[in-house]
Amino acid sequence: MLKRLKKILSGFFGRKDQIKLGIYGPPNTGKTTLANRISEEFTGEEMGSVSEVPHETRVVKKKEKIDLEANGKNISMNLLDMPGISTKVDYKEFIEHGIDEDDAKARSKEATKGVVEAIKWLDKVDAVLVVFDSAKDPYTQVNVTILGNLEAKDIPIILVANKTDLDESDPDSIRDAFPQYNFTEISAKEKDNLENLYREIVENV
Amino acid sequence: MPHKCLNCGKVLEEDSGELMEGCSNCGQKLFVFEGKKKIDKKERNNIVKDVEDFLGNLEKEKEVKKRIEEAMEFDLESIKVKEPGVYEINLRKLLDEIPLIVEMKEGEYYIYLPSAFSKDRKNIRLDDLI
Repeated sequence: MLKRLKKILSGFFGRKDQIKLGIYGPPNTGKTTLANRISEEFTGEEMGSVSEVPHETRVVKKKEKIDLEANGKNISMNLLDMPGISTKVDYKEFIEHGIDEDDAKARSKEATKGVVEAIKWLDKVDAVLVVFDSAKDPYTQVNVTILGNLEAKDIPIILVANKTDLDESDPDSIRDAFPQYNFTEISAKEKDNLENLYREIVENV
Repeated sequence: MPHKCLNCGKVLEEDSGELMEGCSNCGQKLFVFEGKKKIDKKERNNIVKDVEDFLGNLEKEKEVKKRIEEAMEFDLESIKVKEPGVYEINLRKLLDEIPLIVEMKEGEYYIYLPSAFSKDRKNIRLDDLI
């Protein structure tokens, strides 16, 4: 009832609900680095911690009311930084990064829950940035499955080829693998080309 | 002499080990406690029938369970717990499927029912599962 009233009122005053923009992708592609850049630029605050160890983000992080501006347009959105999606989580991988066994197992369990949470959120988001590590082969089961599902749900997608600062970076391989989607290449770490991404977001989301 | 073998009718000595090990006469392990009132043949047959029905039902349940297991598809589960800390996630299943099914070990499945009924899918809690 309250929800309905709110909807009617917002209709009267011409206010559009906040767009929920989800940042999806496999672990360690730079989703949180990107979320931090966007959040920093438009709110002055970072969103979450980043790490070399995969699955650093294990719960959905949310930043509300980001007013993104580009190209003379602006949109108001809630930014959702998702846990990395993978098909296997193995604590031994974390041990290799110097985490002790108990913590590694706990991290593994949380990361698995994180994958489930991220997938459940697919029903709630209005648009999605799918972040790729442009130094890696884009044609993976995770990427293909996520993109296929988003497309089936008719959710607007922007592919983000991140880490263009790396020598091995090959953003074209991503564009070629999935030519049907909006595409932009950036380095979130070096803050390269972010304006293009903002433009893509205000134009396509 | 309170116990009597349901099969052959042998009456056991008090504190007889046969209660645990089986009747020394016929090997059966079903006994009836006889109080002061002796049970007649008809009543004894009724008891035998009840026990047999009960055992028969157990067998039937086992049979049904076996059939359900056989009917399960190979890739039923969304998450496979290979060992503590090692999880395999079937993304396609997870994307398509509600309820959430977790295979804890070979052939042992946990079905998280609230995920089947809850409209708010984001509230799924896995704490009691993995």
